Amino acid sequence: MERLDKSFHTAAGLLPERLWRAAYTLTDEQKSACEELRVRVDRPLAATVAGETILLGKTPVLPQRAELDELLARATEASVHTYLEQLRQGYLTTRHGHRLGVCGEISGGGKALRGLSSVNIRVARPVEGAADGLNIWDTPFVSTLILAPPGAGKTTLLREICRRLSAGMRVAVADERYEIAACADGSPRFAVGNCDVLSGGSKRETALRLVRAMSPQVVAVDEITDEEDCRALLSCAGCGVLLLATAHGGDLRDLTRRPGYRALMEADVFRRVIRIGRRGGRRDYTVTPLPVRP
Amino acid sequence: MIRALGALLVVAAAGGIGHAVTENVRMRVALLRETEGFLHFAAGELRLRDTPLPALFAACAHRGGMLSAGLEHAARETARGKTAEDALAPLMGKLSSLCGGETAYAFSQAARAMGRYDSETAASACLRSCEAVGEERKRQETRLREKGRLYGAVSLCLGAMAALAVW
Repeated sequence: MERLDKSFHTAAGLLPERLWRAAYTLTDEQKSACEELRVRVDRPLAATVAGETILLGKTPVLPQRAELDELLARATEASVHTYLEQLRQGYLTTRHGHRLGVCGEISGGGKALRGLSSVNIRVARPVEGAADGLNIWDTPFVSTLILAPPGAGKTTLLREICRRLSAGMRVAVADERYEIAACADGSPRFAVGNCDVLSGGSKRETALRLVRAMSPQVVAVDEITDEEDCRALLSCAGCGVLLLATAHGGDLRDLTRRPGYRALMEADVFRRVIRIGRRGGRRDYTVTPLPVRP
Repeated sequence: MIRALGALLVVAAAGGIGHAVTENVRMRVALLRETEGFLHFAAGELRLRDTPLPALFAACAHRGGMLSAGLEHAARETARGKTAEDALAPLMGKLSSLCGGETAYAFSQAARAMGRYDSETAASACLRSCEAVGEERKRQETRLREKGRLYGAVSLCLGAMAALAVW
């Protein structure tokens, strides 16, 4: 419970004082289940708690432009230059591992973002033991893809599998967005066991560098999206490394709709898919072995 | 013998007074040199490592010196989201009172760019400020040499006169 409260505390701590007070009107139970804090200019401050949207404050609290600027300054520690590349892509990850999605006006030919209009703070919450119930631990590890829609808990599950796997295998983590381990000053904020973590670089660059430099048995990457990511994974698989990755998708058919995923499937890179769903407000995992083509 | 020793002490004391008169210029030079070093270090950290400002200021503060306390304060404040310009304001005040408005202005230009623009722009601003501070340091060093010679000579002459008068 203490860890959960700490996650909410560090996430809400990014808010300017007036909004912070409103966020703390949530009950302790709601704080522990809070997934997101939504801050939009002149629209009510809201939180997503167990999939439900809740307006914060005793009366609706409307964030002002200056408050969003202050929020961004806190999240970047007044160091926009450090997060520029992430901001160009519409997000930034704080040193506590919370991911902020940002919206505004894209300017400078895609180089910068100004006129911040909304920020979505996704509360990063490690759940130790989240992977304990999976029926994957009795057999040797095979390359695994975690498939779920955004916000379903893919990164949490990936982190937990990495942590457990690293007790017996050499696991290297390509943490492009600092969300898996949230490394700051060399030490991970989240429990990732004995994993070697390389943060910040693109997945393609990082995954291949890890294979070359750390001789891992398993390489873990979060959110493979474009064809370049898929090509990097194909290269890693070609080096005899097992893979653990997450991807956006609702069901197995989604894996054949996108060209990048299709190439991975056709090369039989993954031997197992874990899908995350919700049942009665709780996460539900389905493990599906993938058939090997003759 | 005692008279000769007394005269020698009077001359030495006068020389010491001359040295003390130049002490604030010496301090100014030291502060300018440290500021120059900080700006140079900041430019490198920004350009090559995109270092966040709290870490940058803390690393510099850790090296000690006259800027240490101000940089420690700036590290704390920027970690809370305050802009570099606001966080470095006390340090700018110190620079302004010890080294004059021009130096403080040059420093403020770097502070204004830090954390606000991309690393390259901020690093360039730091190097420009570093150059301006360096110019001022050279001016102060020349002044120190000239002042040192002048005050030293005047003090020694006055000391010698005083020694002769009491002989």
